[in-house]
Amino acid sequence: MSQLEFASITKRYGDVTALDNFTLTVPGGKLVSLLGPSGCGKTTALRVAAGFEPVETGRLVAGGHVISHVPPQKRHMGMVFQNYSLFPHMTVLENVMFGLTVRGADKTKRTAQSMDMLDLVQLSHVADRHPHQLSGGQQQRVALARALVFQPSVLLLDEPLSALDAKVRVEVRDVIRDLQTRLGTTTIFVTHDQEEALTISDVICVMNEGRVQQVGTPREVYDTPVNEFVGRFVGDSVTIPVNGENRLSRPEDLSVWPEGGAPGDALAVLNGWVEGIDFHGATSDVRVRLHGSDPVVTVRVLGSAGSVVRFGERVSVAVHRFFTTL
Amino acid sequence: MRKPRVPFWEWCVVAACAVFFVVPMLTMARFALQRVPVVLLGRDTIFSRWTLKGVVSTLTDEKFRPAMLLSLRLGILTVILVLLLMVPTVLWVHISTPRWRAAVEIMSMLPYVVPPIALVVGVSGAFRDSFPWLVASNNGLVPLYAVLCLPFAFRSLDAGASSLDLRTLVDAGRNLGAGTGRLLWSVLLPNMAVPIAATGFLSFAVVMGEFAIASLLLKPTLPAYMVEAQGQEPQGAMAVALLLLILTSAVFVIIGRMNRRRNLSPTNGFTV
Amino acid sequence: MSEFEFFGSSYPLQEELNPGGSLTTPGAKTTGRGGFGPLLPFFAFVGIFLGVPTFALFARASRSVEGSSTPAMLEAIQGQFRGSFVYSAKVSAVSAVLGVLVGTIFALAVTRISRPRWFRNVVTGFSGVAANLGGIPLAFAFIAALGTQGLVTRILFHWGVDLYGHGFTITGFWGIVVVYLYFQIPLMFLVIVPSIDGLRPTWAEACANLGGNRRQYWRRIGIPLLAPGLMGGGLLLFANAFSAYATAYALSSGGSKLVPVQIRFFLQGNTITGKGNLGYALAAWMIIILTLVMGAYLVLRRRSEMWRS
Repeated sequence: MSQLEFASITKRYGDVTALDNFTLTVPGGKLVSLLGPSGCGKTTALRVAAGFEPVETGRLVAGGHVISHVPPQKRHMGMVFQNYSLFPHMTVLENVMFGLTVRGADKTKRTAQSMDMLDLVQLSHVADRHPHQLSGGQQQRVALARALVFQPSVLLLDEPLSALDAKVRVEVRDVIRDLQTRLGTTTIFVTHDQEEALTISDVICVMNEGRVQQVGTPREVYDTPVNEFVGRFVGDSVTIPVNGENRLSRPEDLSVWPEGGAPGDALAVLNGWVEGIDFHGATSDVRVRLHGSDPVVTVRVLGSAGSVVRFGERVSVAVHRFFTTL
Repeated sequence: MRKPRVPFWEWCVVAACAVFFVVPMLTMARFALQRVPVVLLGRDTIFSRWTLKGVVSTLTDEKFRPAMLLSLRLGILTVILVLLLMVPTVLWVHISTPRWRAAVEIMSMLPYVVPPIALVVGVSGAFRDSFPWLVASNNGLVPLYAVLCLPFAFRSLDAGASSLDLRTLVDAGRNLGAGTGRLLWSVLLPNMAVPIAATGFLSFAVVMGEFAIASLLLKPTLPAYMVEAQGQEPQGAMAVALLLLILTSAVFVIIGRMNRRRNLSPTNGFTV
Repeated sequence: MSEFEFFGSSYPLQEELNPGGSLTTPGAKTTGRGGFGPLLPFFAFVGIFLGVPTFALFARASRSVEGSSTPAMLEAIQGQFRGSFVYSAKVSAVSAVLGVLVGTIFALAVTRISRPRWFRNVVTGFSGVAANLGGIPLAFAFIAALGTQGLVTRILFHWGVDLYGHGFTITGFWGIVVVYLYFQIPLMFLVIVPSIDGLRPTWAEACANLGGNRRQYWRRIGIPLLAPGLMGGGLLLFANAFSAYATAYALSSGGSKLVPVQIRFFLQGNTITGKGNLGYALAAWMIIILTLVMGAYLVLRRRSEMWRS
């Protein structure tokens, strides 16, 4: 259960600044997501942690020791890559055992430990197969087992779900979270998918352009974003023109009523007409074009919206909450 | 692992190999252009008697031009034959009959097990009595040269075709109303332009350097001429050989660059 | 007419057009709906210009040598000819092994050099030339360099190394090996570079991350993955050297122990006449040997492609 600390790490590649004074403490035993769009520096930060990018300015500290210049093979961390990276010529079992094999562990012991690990990810039945015989989700589970079998101090995950199909993504995501909580491994999870981050993390670190934008629990980041970037990136956002300014809210913090029928305790009321209704199963999005302005406001309604409004109808939109910032 | 490290040892290896590869070329050039026998070479003679006389005398030799022209002609004819034969075959295999691809691939690899020397011997035995004109005519070399080119012609065109989705292109073209001719001309061939050009250049280069068949069938091609000239005018022969080397190098670099632009491996077609 | 009828019924579904599955998914089973017809010219061409000569070759080789009763095929591997085959095999094997070693080291070096960016292209282009070179210019070049009057010979002599005094000749065993290396090394380079490129950097990173150092990487991952390419390359180089004719001929002016040149000896019809069938037999044996070698090569290549996907 060791803590990992990035202290003022800056990385530049020619004109591009990948990490700008990046500072973050990953508490021991917790899963921290690095969330942001492509190019925000999240992968760079992960690779710095792994030792694949050298630290030039700043420091990397793990469990109290400065590891900025320790080579990757000595860092005792486990990494799961985006694109499988299982060794193609080895069986699943040999892959999982690899971390133990290179550390010189005794054969019976390492076989037993690896099989236990494969049990945990429910893949002991494919131990003798080769990677190309497995599906994407299975390969990632094997990669996870391989990274965890030698009990690393930190687990690093580089967008492990991006290359998987939607349904499989959820399965593997759950396996990751489950295993992480059970083993209590300090984990850094890199993703550009904010829904993933919200579901799986203890702490989210939102990044953009090499800088930390906000660090907080999923609830904090979602409910109280500290700036417009975070507000827009995490969850859906709606721009509301109020008193000549633009303010941000969330679609579920709005409600739609027949014109004139908005409740009196709303923070703001705007009028327009229904431009479209998108049915998403559990919810529907009602798109309202406000009178006299460009923005189309999206109101999220439970269930099908047909009972409340119709296409083309003139409506009032009530705002029940704003973000405190822009 | 991606440390910004200067690849020192890598360059050492490359330099050592470069010496091995470049020195013979240099000695060739020196031999062709300097009229000083090696025994007399010393610090004082190193800059003397550099002349183009040997080169010129070969180029003006009455037997050089016909040999050169013959090789050029055979080269062009071979390219045409190879392309006419292989392009439709590869296209057809990829679009309509993928099951036959393995058979075509193996057939096109067969020339590797029948080296030119064996081929010419077999041709001589098979056709000398029944089709003497085939063996006697200079143009009879063309189909034999085409056989030699089959392996990499297939590899080059096949890889090029595989990297496209020919089936979809054909379906899309037909869907939009294209007939076979237009399909071929406007849709398929332009996309295959790079492998076709690469195959053409490679085949041409092979013909320009082919010796075994020409020599045994007593045909006066350029390589055969070079061997003969070595006896009489060695410097000129060297110069021609050097020229051939340089031209072929340029051709291969161009092929490599063309392959790379199409995202094919730059070594595509050069080897099995 | 509902929307579905309008869009659905007029155009037959893709599955109906192509029974048996999609033709656009690589690897999916397809029922080739085309005919064999357009492939006929190709097969006919190969049949006539490759099949018939080969057949004629074997036909004549199986006849007896003029003046004796043994079939030429048998006589071709006895006595002095056995020596020729052994000599050819030795030259081919040695140049193959050395070619594999140097070629692979060279390839590893070149693939790691990222600047200047055009470097690898030029090396590849040059390798393409060197590997497919007609042997004549090459032989000339080495005669100019390492022949008895060669420039390098003379320079080495000047520095105190007497090559020819120690028995080296450009037409001898090691001379030929050295010349053959000129195209063996580039050929190996071309063959092994795709395999080296196929070594995904992710695997190297995963190995390091899991605790393996460089030696362990090569031992457990790099070399096992390269092995089929190395062995395949070795076989290809062997076949390449074994069939080389022009270089050997130009170096030795027709008086070589190598099998390809010996074939010419019999069929040019200048000296021992009437023994033509022996020449055919020698060629036939060459084909047999090469078929075995190339067959093994293809098997290896198919296996290594399994991992590439």
